[in-house]
Amino acid sequence: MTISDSLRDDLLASIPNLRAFAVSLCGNSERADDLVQETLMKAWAKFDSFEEGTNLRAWLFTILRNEFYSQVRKKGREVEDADGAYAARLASQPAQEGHMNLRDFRIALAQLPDDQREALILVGASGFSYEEAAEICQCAVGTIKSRVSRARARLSEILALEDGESFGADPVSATVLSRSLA
Amino acid sequence: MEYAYALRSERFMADHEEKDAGRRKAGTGGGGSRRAATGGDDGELDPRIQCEIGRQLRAVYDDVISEPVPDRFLELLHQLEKSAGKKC
Repeated sequence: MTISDSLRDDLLASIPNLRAFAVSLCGNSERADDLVQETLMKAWAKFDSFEEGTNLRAWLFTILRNEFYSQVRKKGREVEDADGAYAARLASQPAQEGHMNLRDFRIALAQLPDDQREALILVGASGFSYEEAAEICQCAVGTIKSRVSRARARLSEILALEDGESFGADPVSATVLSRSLA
Repeated sequence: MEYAYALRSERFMADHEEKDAGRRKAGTGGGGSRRAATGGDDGELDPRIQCEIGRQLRAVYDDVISEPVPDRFLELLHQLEKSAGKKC
């Protein structure tokens, strides 16, 4: 299979995003890179089914996600970093000056159910529309919307409960959060 | 700069939510005026909390994005291209 230079460049440019999404799925960057490698090989093998000019990034994300869940099905939860283990490892890392909030956020993110975390990442970080995220996850747009909204609600709950006053970089958001639970 | 990006993507999301809310209304056949975006009677979070979550989410994600692409992927693409060349 040969591909055009522009497609190759686009593929290369998608790698950082694919890695970030893979890390969010696996919670482990080594495994995430294996997943990205599988994805690139799969994508290469079936580039003839990709319509040039359509959304390459969404196409690649779909392949990566399918690959991840098919590995989970085959090998069981060991493929995924068990939710608790990942959160515990994060929690045991020493807090770096100024990164305390981000570390807490990672821990909270790791505690979300997989489907909610994935929807939130796709829409809130990867920059996909609800429609694109629904296509990638092969579910209805409304399902994505409700997962994203539940994920946000759950995050604000976890963060406010565990780190109430110090959540957020500024006092306003901390106040907003503690008020939301009152 | 990262913060500006987060704000932008929040705005993008908010736009989508509004559009979707509009569609939902249309779908149920209701012709009434749309609820104010800040009404929040369906349990939506305060926009400021959403914004804060969006900001942290992007910061976590961008941590990985900003890493250089590992050599293994460049090598992989080389290999794939080489093997494609041989076949032709």
